[in-house]
Amino acid sequence: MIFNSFTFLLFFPVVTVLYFLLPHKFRWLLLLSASCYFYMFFKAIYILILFFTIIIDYTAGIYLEKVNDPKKKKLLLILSLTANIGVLAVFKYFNFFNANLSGILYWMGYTNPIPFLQILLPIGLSFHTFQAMSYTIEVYRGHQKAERHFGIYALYVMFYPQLVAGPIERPQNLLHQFKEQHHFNTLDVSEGLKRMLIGFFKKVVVADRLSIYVKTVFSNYPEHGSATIVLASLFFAVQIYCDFSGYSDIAIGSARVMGFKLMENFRRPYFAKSISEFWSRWHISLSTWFKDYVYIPLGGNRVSKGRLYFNLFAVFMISGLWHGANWTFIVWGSLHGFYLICGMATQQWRAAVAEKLGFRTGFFANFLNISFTILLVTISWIFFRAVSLPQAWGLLKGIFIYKPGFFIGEPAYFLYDFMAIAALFIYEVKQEYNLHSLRFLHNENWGIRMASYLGLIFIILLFGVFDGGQFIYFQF
Amino acid sequence: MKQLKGNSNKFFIRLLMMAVAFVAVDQIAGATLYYFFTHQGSGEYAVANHVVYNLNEDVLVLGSSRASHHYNPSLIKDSLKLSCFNGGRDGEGLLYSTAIFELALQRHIPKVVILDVTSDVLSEKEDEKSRLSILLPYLKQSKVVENMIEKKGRLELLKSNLQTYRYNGQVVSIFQHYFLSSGNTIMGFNPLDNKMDASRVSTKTSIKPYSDSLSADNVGALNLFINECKRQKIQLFVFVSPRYNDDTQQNSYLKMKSICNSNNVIFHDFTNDVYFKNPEYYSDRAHLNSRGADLYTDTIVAFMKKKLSPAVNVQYLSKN
Repeated sequence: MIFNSFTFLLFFPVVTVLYFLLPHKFRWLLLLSASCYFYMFFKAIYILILFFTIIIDYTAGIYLEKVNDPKKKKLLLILSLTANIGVLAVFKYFNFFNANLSGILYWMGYTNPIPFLQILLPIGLSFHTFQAMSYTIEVYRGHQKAERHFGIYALYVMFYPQLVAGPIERPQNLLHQFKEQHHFNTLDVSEGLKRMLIGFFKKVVVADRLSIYVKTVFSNYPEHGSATIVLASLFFAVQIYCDFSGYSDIAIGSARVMGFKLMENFRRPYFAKSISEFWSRWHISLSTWFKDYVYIPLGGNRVSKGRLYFNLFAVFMISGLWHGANWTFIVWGSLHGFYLICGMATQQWRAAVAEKLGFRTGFFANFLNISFTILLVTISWIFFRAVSLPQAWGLLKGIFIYKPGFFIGEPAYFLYDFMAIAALFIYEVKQEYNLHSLRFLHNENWGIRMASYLGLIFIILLFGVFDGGQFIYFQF
Repeated sequence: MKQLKGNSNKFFIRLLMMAVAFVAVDQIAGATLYYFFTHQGSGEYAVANHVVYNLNEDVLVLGSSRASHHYNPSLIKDSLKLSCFNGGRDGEGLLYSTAIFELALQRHIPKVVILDVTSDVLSEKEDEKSRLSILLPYLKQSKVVENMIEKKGRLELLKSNLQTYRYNGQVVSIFQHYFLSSGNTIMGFNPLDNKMDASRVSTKTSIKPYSDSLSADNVGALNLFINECKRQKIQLFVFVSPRYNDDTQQNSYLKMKSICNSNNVIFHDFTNDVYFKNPEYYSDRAHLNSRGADLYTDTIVAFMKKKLSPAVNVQYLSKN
């Protein structure tokens, strides 16, 4: 089931009402059943994969707590991680590595005897696998007690709001919430519903609307002029932000209605003044996952400069691979690693130049830094969006080797695109700079609040794209 | 606890008030949009609205962009002495044509219908059903339209109970064509003025012959279209209009031909007519320009004159 479907608009209130009507001791069962139902909408049989990892990690957690021998503990952790990564390797990466192996063998004059697997990628596999891994790592580190209630643990992995596209929660934040009794709280309900409404706006009015132009241009890029490809790339930068942060808003909002508080996943990333700041604002739950479980174990900042750069590059390359089994994602991740290394290596030099020019702080300096960060991120998105490296290369050539012509498409739709971006920009500026004088959904006057809710609902109904399909991040 | 209960009561009362306000605004906004929608002076919906609400012509042309750009109603009227309206619409297939035809029949029965098709008209296409949203403003006016909308998804009809949802994605276009009407179509005909650069166009096609799978919905729509014509005693012509590039034979084509033959419907394929293989007549490889369209209209008129049924012919002769 996807959030932007009519089925979800029926599913959500039914589950929420039942949640508050049921006694606390049965609520986990309701949420677990609802989560199974939610997941089985995609491909029912794949729920067995989830149960496989849930059983392994649940058992590993209990034994990790029981066993005192560090070697045995480590072995248990490795077993649990291998099971999780093994599932990812089979379902997500096997065909990718096999295709590359075929290419190498073909180049050497051999034929690859290993057959390709005829399987579909289970939806959101990387998200719940990473969430499950964070549990066993935290139990291993002694930061989290092993969960004895199988149903609660299963719910931790499968909680439907964040099951297929995050935020990737930590057990310390989420597990205990399933045991706490949540009473019907009007503040939680109204704040949750508002958050969901904003998420729907981002997804169907902005992301899916922009995707029409982006798809048209990217799928036929040799026919388009440079300005068109630049605009489509910028549109894609906004599209992917709204698609993913819209999903996170709906996830956080729908959990909040029932009294659950999920971690924030985005903090207006396109206001970042550097790539490192961008990563503290974009997909925060994944960035912190990689920081806590990969970057710091590799030595973090307390290593030589060379090793630090290697660690950074490796983490971002793996992050690229996490997104998808394609060289385009690996290049995308590596590019961000490269940006960060360049940023670190030139930091002092850039600061000195800015000081000399008098651009160190102030509006102009911020504007330049934000614009340059957006430019770098947008170039990287081209690799993310392209279906192959030749296509990404073709798109970059299309931008940098000037070709005249500008594509508008359906004028009304083109106008909607800019209206949607303008509305988003106002909302984000208001959030970023705490402009409380412009309150709509949070206005103290109930009449204005209600008019704002209705206005937003009707904007979604009139301008949203309802055949936009899945969220981009579901495929990961 | 008492305060919690008080807060909850207030919350639910406000929620109820908001629901009532939502329904009221939806009805008012829906009625307003309906007015502007039905009074648009130009644009594709103005053409569709004429077919649905104001059709009084003898000949109706239906089909996709190729219908809209290829059939000049003035030439048909001059030659056949039968008034004509072109109801073709860019990007739309047989499901749309059938629905709009059903709506037209509720108010007026044309004497002749020209259905312009492509060789893949009955093939399964990825986005054909999602495009049916354009019929939403005409919902509740015909059972056939409801059935078509239902093909989009089980819950589509439920969603369509919201008046505003029916005009989703149309607001700017509706106001644009109401307030800034360009009146750019001639009886629905939308001629293309540019000339194709033949040196940049390939006539080859990469689609494999007979590689398509048939869409049961499209086959059903064609049968429904033909049966309605039979029931209303409308003479139906099914034409495949010319194209510059090679056309790949599809299973759809064979099926369409066999349905037309078994129902004694006049079917003619102009795709390989050598007369129309001249690049001067084209705007792009699938669409004739205005010069090509006029020549093509003259050709089909000559063809139709020989085939018009006595009932239509009597009128044609008397007007002559």
